[in-house]
Amino acid sequence: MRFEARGLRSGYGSVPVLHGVSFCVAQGEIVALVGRNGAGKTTLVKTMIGLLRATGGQIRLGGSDITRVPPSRRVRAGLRAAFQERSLFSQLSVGDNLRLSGLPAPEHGRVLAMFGESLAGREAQRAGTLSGGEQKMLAAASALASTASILLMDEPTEGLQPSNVELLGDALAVARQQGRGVLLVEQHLALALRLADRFIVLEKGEIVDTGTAGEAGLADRLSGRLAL
Amino acid sequence: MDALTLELLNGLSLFATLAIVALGLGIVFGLMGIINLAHGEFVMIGAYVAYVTHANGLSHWLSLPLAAVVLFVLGACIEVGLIRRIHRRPEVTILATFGLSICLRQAVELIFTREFRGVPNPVPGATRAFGVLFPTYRYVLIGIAVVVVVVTLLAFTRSRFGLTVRAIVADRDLADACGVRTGIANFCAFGIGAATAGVAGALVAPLGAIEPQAGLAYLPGAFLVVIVGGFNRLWGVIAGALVVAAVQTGVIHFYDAVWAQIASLALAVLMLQLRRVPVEGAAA
Amino acid sequence: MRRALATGAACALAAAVFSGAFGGYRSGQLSLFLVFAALAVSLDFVWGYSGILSLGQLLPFGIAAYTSAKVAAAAPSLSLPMLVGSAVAGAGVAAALGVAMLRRRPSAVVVGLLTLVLSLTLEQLAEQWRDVTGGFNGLTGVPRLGGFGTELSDTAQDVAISVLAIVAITVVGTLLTRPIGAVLIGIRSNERRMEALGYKTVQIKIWAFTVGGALAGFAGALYVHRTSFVSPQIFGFSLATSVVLWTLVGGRGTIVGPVIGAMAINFASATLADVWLQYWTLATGLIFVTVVVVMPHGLVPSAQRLAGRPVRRRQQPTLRPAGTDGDATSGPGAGGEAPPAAAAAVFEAREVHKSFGFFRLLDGVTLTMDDAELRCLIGPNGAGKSTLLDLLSGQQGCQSGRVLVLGTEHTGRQAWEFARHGVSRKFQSPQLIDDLSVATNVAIAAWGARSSPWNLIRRPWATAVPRPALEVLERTQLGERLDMRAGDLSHGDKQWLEIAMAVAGDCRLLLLDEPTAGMTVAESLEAAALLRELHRSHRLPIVIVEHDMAFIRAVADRVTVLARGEVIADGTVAEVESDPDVRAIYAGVHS
Repeated sequence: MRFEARGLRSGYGSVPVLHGVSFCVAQGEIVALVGRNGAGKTTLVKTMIGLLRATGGQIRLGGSDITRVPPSRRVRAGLRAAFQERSLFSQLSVGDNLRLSGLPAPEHGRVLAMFGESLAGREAQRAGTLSGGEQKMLAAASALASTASILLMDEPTEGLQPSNVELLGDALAVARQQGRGVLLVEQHLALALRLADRFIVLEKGEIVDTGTAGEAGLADRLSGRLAL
Repeated sequence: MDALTLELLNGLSLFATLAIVALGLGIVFGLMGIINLAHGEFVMIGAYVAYVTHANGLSHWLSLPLAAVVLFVLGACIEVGLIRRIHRRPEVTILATFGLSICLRQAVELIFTREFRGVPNPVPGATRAFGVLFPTYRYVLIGIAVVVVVVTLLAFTRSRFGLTVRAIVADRDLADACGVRTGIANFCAFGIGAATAGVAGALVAPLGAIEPQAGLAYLPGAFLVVIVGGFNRLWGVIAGALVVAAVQTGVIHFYDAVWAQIASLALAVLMLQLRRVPVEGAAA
Repeated sequence: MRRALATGAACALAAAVFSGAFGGYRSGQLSLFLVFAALAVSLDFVWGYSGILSLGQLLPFGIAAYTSAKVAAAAPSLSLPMLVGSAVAGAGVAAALGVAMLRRRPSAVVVGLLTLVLSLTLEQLAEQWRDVTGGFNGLTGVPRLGGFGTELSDTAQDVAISVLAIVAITVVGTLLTRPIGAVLIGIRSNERRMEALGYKTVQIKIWAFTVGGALAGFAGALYVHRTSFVSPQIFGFSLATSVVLWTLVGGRGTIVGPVIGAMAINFASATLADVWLQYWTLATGLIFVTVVVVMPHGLVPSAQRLAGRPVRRRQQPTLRPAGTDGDATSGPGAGGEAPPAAAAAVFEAREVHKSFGFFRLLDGVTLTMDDAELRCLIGPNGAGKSTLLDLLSGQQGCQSGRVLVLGTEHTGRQAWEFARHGVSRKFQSPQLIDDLSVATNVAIAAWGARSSPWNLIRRPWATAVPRPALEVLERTQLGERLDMRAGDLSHGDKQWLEIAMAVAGDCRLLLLDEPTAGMTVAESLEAAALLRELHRSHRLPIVIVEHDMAFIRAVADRVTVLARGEVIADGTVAEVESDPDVRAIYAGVHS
């Protein structure tokens, strides 16, 4: 299944944020979408999952047009997002959060163990009382544990300590091996440079640069784009 | 001593009525962020279901499930035909349900005329308990209302459906993005809200006259319960009904029903002053 | 204003002639329906213009009606002065209710519910309180209007009531042609914005609620004389729905709409109800629901739109440069050229903390600006930039620390106090009053600093606007589109208009939150040039939160970097760009 955006336009109310963005994510690849704060990355993720209406262009999943399809049907068609902010139901328990992601109780233990010890056995705890990093891990873990074939990860490493970033990277690599497609949205290059097959740079709602892993001078070029 | 017991029983009976009448209002508001001004008419229609059941020679007890089914269907139709189009615009929903209440009232009047109808008490007489005589049907009413309220609330908090409902209340966008079918959840919530109103109507039918305007009488009490109980907490319905019933019974004992109403209104205003009401943000 | 008065006079004349010509039944109908029209206009003033969804407009109406009935029964000769008294009574009821209810800024839903429940409760009270209200049957035999020992004849009273109702509607309608009308629309559509412009919105809303109550009270007194009785149903659900229906169907936010709505629906009811009463009531319910869903603006605005006329032909302010003549109503600092007192810092945030739950938005930030400079504030998401601007403009308070602005302690003050002290704020997304014209938006910003409702009624539409604002309008060609509806502007033009509004008040410190959001690269460089120009020629201190580095390089004297609620770097653009900490935070790699 292949995920594709063609000339996508979107924004908040009358404020246009994306001015025609086109890219695709195929199965078995990790595409890094990098860009500075305010470039429109989160808007892009929200438009792709359907929380924001596209004002122009097309979103396609596995050959069918899903531009006007409601979020719940996109999720059932195999799309899944982990948001940067408000990624969990903070009033509900960790276990309830996993159940809402479609994970039956017997699997909870395995999912919580994905990031080592820190989440293990905390199913009954209210998600809002987890630390910021733990919440990000739980959101990432429940997205990764779902059956979705395309994952949209919005800044999953923000607030994560380096050892957990490593674990997250490993989990994403496994997802790629399983033949899933991942759109890794990041402001930072650390994890993206290690993992991604292709790179897209977003600036003021437009794609201003692309690259492929292994290209000469890629790291310098990208960090030049992101630095001040 | 006996007078106090009697007042307590009266209060309990008022509490049960308020709770079951306000239950549907609380569910629809808590879940969908919609103030349903036609809720009183749902209760009224429930009472008419009891009347029709009786007129056909059937048992009053049959009217309770019957009212639930009829009102569920009616509520579901209204959700699909009207609420779905205007949902997420709180002011518009208030106005639309305001208009809806006229339609329902008038439709009932066209079918049944304005004539007062009644349903005979299925368990006439009084029971002596705790040293006082108290109408038996009221004991029954208290029992059934409490069971309906508690079971409904448990269903909303403990089941899988309840979990999705709570997820929607907590964060509708995120629920959408988790694949929760928020549309179907709304449909069910509105239907169930209407169904509980129907049961409430059938339950109170033997206690008073049944007429098209009857629904209006329930509206202020039910809204006071929801305002006092807190807008976003389903269990708040019970707490709100308890407080309003206590205040009203207490004031009625010393003054009269109007002052009781005014006292609970003052309480509602006070509650609004004390806490921020996240009404618009509730479901938006 | 003249047009409104002329229309009112013409209507009053027509009503008098009509009553004289037909007399009896028809003139009675006309006067009753005009009283209902006045009631609908009072709801429209409160709801359509000021945005307070009051389902209890019957409270002042009914209370005044009961009071008039009592007074008229006791002293028939006092009925004329009592008309004035009833307006005062209505105003008093509404003012008390407004103060009790509106100060906590409740949502429309809460206001609607409370007013409705209150009205229904009063219905029950009126039924029970038999000694005073006559119980269920109410007070009957209220004498006709009169004075000096005489009582008017039926037709004469009909004429008098029709004319008085029209006069009352005209007075309120005329009020709305004054600048206060535009301000009320502003508060209805964006209260937060109006507060940031220096308006005490809560006070103005309570005032509007009171004026609406006065009109409703006046109508209540007319009503009781016209029908000669009053019963508890005057507070009831049925009349409450009807008032909303008239206003809604006719079209809120216009004066003609509710009048037409009330007249048309009542005439239709009176005619059709004889034939099929029950079906007609059902039909009104269906009309109600249909209008809400399909035509939420109502008949009059929809018809205007169909006819291709601008939705609202309102009076337009003329803008002229401040300082060209002695405009008494523009503030002393309205030129924007008075530099802040040399000794005091422009602003100073000292050790400010702000947190939500466990999450610390700002953790002991100290930020000062000593001279008028152009400062950019940057940092990753969640660094606390917008929160800091909020603290400097009073949108939020801080939990500890102090905020000093333009030499005065402002910790814990309200947004309008900051605005009146010279702090202008532009929000991230454009927050214009969409329904009003470009010129009116600018004028509203210019009036903000010194505006009580009374001022806004008396002041002329012609407005003195500080030079910087006029310069912005001129440079962006908005000056040629002054009468265009602000909501119809392109996104870029909205941003420009925002900036013009920000400097149109008594602006001595300008705070901009992402001014280039949604602008193209070329537009944002243009914005940079314009802001530099404003800063240079008027010595205006400016703080900008931005992400766009090209823009920042073009505009900033100095850059402050915030991250995780703390200041991590501060200096010129070049200094900040070469700071290793900043580079690490931004690119995520150490280079």
